Amino acid sequence: MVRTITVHSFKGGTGKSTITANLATALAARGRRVGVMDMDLEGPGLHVIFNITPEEVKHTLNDVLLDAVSPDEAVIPMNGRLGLEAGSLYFSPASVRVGEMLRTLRTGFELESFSRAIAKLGTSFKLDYVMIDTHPGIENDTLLVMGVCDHLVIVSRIDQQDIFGTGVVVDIARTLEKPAHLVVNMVPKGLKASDASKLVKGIGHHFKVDVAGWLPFSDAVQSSLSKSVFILTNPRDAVASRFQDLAKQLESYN
Amino acid sequence: MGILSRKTKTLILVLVASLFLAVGLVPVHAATQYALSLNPGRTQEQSSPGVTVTLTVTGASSGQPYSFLLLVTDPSGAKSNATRSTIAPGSAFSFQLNYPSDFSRGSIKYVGQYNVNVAQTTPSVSASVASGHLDVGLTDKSTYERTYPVSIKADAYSSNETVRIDITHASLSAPDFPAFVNADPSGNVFFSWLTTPDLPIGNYNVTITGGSTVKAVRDSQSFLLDLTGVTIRGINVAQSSLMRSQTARFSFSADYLGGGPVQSGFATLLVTQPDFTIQQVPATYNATSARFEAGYRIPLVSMNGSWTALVKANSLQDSYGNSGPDSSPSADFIVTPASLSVDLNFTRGDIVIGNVVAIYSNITTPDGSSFAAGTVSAFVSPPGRPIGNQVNLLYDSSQRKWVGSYTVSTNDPSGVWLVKVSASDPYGNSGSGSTSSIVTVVAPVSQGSTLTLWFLTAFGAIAAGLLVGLFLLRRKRTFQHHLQVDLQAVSEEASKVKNQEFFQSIKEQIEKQREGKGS
Ligand SMILES: Nc1ncnc2c1ncn2[C@@H]1O[C@H](COP(=O)(O)OP(=O)(O)O)[C@@H](O)[C@H]1O
Ligand SMILES: [Mg+2]
Repeated sequence: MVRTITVHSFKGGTGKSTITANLATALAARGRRVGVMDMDLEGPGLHVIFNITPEEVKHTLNDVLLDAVSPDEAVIPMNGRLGLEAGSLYFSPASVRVGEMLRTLRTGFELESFSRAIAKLGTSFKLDYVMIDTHPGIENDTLLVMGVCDHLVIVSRIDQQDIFGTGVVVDIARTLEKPAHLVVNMVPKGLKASDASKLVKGIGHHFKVDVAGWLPFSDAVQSSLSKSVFILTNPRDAVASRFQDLAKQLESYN
Repeated sequence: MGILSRKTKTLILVLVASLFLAVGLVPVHAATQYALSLNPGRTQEQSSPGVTVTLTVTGASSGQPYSFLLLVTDPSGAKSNATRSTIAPGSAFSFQLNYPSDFSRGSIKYVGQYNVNVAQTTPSVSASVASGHLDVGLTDKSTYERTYPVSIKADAYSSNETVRIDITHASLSAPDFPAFVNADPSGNVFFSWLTTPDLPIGNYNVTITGGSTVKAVRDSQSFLLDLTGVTIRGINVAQSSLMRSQTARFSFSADYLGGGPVQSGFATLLVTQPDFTIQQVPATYNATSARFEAGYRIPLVSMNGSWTALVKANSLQDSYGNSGPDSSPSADFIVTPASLSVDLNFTRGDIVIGNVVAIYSNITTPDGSSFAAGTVSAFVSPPGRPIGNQVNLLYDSSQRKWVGSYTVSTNDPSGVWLVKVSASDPYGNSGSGSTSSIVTVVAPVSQGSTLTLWFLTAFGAIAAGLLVGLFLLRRKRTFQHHLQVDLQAVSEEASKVKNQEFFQSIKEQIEKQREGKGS
C-alpha cells in the first residue's frame, strides 16, 4: 500500500519544495519507489529542482483525475535524469488547482476522487510513497491534500509568524486525525547544534507535535538556487546527511 | 372578462403544444435492446454456487408484458431451460437467474463451453434476442505462476469412487502424477497441486479418469504455467559499524510470490555511500546458511558515515528463470576511518656516532592487509628530547614494510630511546605505535646549534596556540531567541478554518473513508 506524505507550511518560502525533492530522492536512493506531486500551483518549484521544462509536461495529474489519460502518461520517470540507480522516482506535475477541479466534478466526493487517483498512481508504479508538495496557507486544496495524506510534514522556520502558523496547522491536523511531524528549516547558523535541538524540541513540546528533525540555514543550499536536487549535487555537505537522516525518520513512520 | 379568458385559452394552447413537443422528443419507438451477461464467465465443475445470468432489456414499452425462454446447451449437447415473464415497469428492466439452480435439468458437470440463448416469446416472437457462453474447467484459473497451487474440482462421479488424475506437460507426466484420489460421498473430486519453482513453463494438460464412471465429455483441460517473481524479506549486515578496509557482509533470504524460499541463484546488491556513489556487489545463494550472501571490502578511500545496502530491482535470478524483486528493503551501516596498527623495530645496544640506524615498521589496516600508501614518520627521542627527531619512512613493497634511517649525532645521549611511528593518509585513516630501546652512544661530542631549533619550535607552538584561541573566540558568538506564541490565538485562528464549509466536508469524507476501511 502506498503511503502519502504531504509537505506543508503555513507561510511561503519555508523550504517545502527543497525538502520534498530531497527527501523523495533520499528515499529512492534507499530503494523505495517514490512518486512526487507538485500541488503548489501559485509557485510551483519542483520542476525547476528536477530540471523539467514546461514543454516536457504533456499531461498532468488533473488528466488522471478526469480519467482522460492513464497514470503513466502523467508522470515523468526521474531515475535516468538524476542518475539514480537504486529505487524509483517519478514526478507528477499538476496544472490547475486540483481541489477546485474536483469540486466542479463532484462536490462532497473530492477526497474519494483524489485518493482514488493517488491509489491508481500507486498501483501502476508499485509506489511505496507519494510525496505531495503544497502551496502555503490553508485553502481548499491544501485542506484536501491534508485530508488525503497518511502523514503531514509541517515545515517551519524559527520565526514568530511561521511558528504561530505551525500551531494552527498542527491544530487542524489533529482535528482531521492526521499524524503530523514538524521539520524546522533554516535554523540560524550561529545556533549551536545542541541548542537548536533543544529549541526545536521546545517548539514540538509547546504544540504537542512530533519533531522529525531540523535543518540549518545553509549557504550551500541557498546558492544552489533550487536548480538541482541538493543531496545529489552536494552529497558530502553536512545538510545532505541531515536530509538522509530525515528520510530514515520518515521511513520509520508506519 | 372576455379578454382574460382569451389570454387563458392562449396560455392553455401554448402549454398543450409544448407538452406535445416534449413528448414528441422522447424516443418511444427506439429499438428494444437486449444484453446478456454471465458472472463469473468461467468456473469449475460444481453445481453450487453456479453462475448468475443477467438479462437487461432497454428500449422496452412500459406496461407491456414480456416473456423469455432461456436455453443452455452444455458441452455434451444436453439442453436445459428456464422461462421468465414480467410486465415492463418502465423502458428498462432486467432480471437474474442462477445457472444451474433456476434451470430445469441444469448442471455444471462437464468441462467446455456452455452456450446460452435467449428467445423472446412475448410481445413478439424472436428465436434469439441475446446469447452468451460460460466456460467451465477443472482448475480454478487458466494461468498460474509457479509456486501457486492449482486447485482442481470435478463433479458427477460416483460416491467415494477412486479417480485417476493426470497432469502432463509435453506428453510427460508432471512429478507426483498420476495421482489417485477418492470422490466425496456426493461424487465431487477435490485436489490441489502445489506448483514448484522449477517446473517447466508452458501448457499443461489435466485429465480425470473415473474408476467406473465414464462421463459423456471427458474431464480434460489445459492450463498455462508461467514464471514467478520473488520478494526480499530483509537485508542483514553482519556488523552495524565497520572501519574502512573491513569487509561488510550482507545476507538476505528471498521468497517466491506464491510462498516458499528461493534456494538457488544470484542477485546484485547496491551498496550506496553517503554521497550516493554506488557499488554493485554480487550476492550468491549459500545452501549451508540457506541465505543469499555478499561481501564488500570497504576501500580505504571511501566515505565515512551512513551507508545503505539493498537488492537491485529485478537482479535476483534463480536457477529456473524466476526473477525479482520489484523493490527491496534496505539496511544501513556506519563506516568509520581505519585505525592503523603500527608495529616497529629499532635497534638496541651500542651505536657509534655517525652511524645509520634503520627503523622498520609494519603497518596494517583493520583487515590485516599491509598499509602501503600514505605518510609515515618516525620520531626518534633520545632521553630528554620529548619532541623527537623526525624521520620520514618509505614503503618497501618487497618487504611490505616502511623503512627509514636515523643518523646518530654527536649530541644524542645514551639511555632509553623512545621511537614513535605515526601513519596517516589524506582520507583520515591513521594510527601510531611506539617502542623503546636501551641505547649506548659511543664517543660523546660537544653541543651546538640545536638550541636555536628548540627556541624556534617552542615559538611556533605558542603562535599556533594563539591562532586556535582566536578562532574559538570568533565562533563563540552566542545566539538568543525569545519566541512568544499564544496558544489561545493559535486555536482561534484554527477555529476560523474549522468553521468553513469545505473543512467540514473534508472531515466528513475522511470519517466516511475510515468507516469504509474499517468495515
Ligand atoms: N536549509 C536551507 N538553507 C538555506 N536556504 C534554504 C534552505 N532550505 C531552503 N532554502 C532556500 O529557500 C528558498 C525557498 O525554498 P523552497 O523550497 O522553494 O520553499 P517553498 O517551497 O516552501 O516556497 C529557496 O531559494 C531555497 O533554496
Ligand atoms: Mg514551493
